[in-house]
Amino acid sequence: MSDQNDVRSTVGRDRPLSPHLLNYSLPLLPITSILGRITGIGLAIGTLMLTWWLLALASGGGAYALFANVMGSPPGLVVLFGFTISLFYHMCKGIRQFIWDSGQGLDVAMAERMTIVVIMAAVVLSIGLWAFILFF
Amino acid sequence: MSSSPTGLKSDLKRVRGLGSAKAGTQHFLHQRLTALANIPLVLVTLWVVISSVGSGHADIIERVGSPFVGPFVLLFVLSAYYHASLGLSNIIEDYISAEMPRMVALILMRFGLIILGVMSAISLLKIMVGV
Repeated sequence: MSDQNDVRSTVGRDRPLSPHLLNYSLPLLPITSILGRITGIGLAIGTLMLTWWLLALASGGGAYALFANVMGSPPGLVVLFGFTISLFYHMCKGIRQFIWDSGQGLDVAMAERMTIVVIMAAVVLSIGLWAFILFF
Repeated sequence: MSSSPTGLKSDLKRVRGLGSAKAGTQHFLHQRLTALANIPLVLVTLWVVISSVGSGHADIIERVGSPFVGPFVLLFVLSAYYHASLGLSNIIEDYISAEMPRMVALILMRFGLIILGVMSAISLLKIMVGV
């Protein structure tokens, strides 16, 4: 009986864990919520890119050629693809938020189904758009 | 009619200015309205960007400078950068708890987005006016 009070003997037993950061795994919905913020930060940083595009266009052919070269380089394309998927994810998540704001789809099963649609739509739209750019 | 002891103040008058930012629901409302506006505007802007892949500088200037395209790109810049400032201020307010760093981060973030927004808007106006 005395070993029940011994902390060491609880190792390996099926005891409940406190939701500590190291052993708490986030469910799907909170993951998509924090992803919305992360993509939002990414898109906000991406305003630098849009501003550069417009500045380069307004400045003339030489400035625009520099922009086009940097963005067309492999690292530039990776950044652009990341921007694209962030944009579509953030937009689809925003549309999901509008549906929730209207009071629809708030039960857990429906909310998770909508979330899977959001993730799939973001991936399909991004890959579709890049396939269109690269092959047409 | 209000039955509270606040006298002649209406319910609307009392709810205004509440919340931690003392601005009521304005932040929420502007965040949702710019989000709604961003959906069509970003699709137009994306189309402009995609159709300029591989085009020369003069062709892109002509397309962006069109009065049927340029205004929508300009509106996207205004709506999206404002939306970004609303979202980033939420994030800064949530994760930076110390007062002074939070204020500094909020001010720098807003100044930065205002600079980028004005630079973008003036570039677009220059392209549209054709100087």
